[in-house]
Amino acid sequence: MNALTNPVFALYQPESRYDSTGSRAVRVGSLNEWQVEALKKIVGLESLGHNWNSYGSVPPSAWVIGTAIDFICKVPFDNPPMPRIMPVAGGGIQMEWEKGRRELEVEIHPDTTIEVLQAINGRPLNPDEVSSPAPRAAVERLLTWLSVD
Amino acid sequence: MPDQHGENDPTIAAEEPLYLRVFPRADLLVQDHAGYRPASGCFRSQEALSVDLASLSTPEETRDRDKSHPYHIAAFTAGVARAEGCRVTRDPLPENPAHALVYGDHQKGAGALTKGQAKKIAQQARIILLNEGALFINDGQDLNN
Repeated sequence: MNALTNPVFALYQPESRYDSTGSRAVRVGSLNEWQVEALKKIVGLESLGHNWNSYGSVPPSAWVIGTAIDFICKVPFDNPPMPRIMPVAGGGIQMEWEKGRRELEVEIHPDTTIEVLQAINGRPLNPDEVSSPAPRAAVERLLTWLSVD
Repeated sequence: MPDQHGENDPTIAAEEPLYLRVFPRADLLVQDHAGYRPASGCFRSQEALSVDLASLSTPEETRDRDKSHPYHIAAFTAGVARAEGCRVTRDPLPENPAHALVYGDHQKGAGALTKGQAKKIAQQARIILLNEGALFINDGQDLNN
């Protein structure tokens, strides 16, 4: 796996919290509609059970879900493409954006590593390159790259 | 670093389809001009990717090996996987003689496909058994309760 542990992400305080009922609570007042929809998808993954994929995978961990929520909340744009959000085997979450010829994949792993893949016309750019972004700046950089014509 | 994984099995022909169960969630499918293909996330794992050999299994048999969810079935060929640097080996199980493994990263880890390999293979794979009832489900809630 081509990823580095990202201490910035690992130490980051998540935007989401668990309320007194044990449910995850996310402040959505300042978020755009697309972000709320994305958060619904992410939170929905909490209900996945063990072996959800039939190949023995564990469900996404609480840290993975919290980090995915943080990532979405930090996107500084009003109307990026709606991300495709999916669980991945091993307890991770992958988020994918596609705009024109450009695609961006961000995969969050339960071992607190994060992998990023950028592609143009379906061809990965630097597939072995590791990305270990600082939260807000990295999110902005990646989403800005997606929007370049 | 030494190579940690097995050899390609030459008795598995390049044109042999490999079947993979796909969790029935809308975001795991990509619609294109010809129907649907699996998203790259379907090919991510912590270990080598488990598949079934089409010469020893039908798509329906692969789907029905686990009936806990209404899985889709994706197919790609051994040749597609090898073209991206993967190795395909037989790994028959007592309950599934069609079982095989696709190794991606040969240098570290447990042989999982890299993100680049997953991306390229996904683009050449197809959904060959589609559960239409699951096309619009996008959370786990509906499927696990």
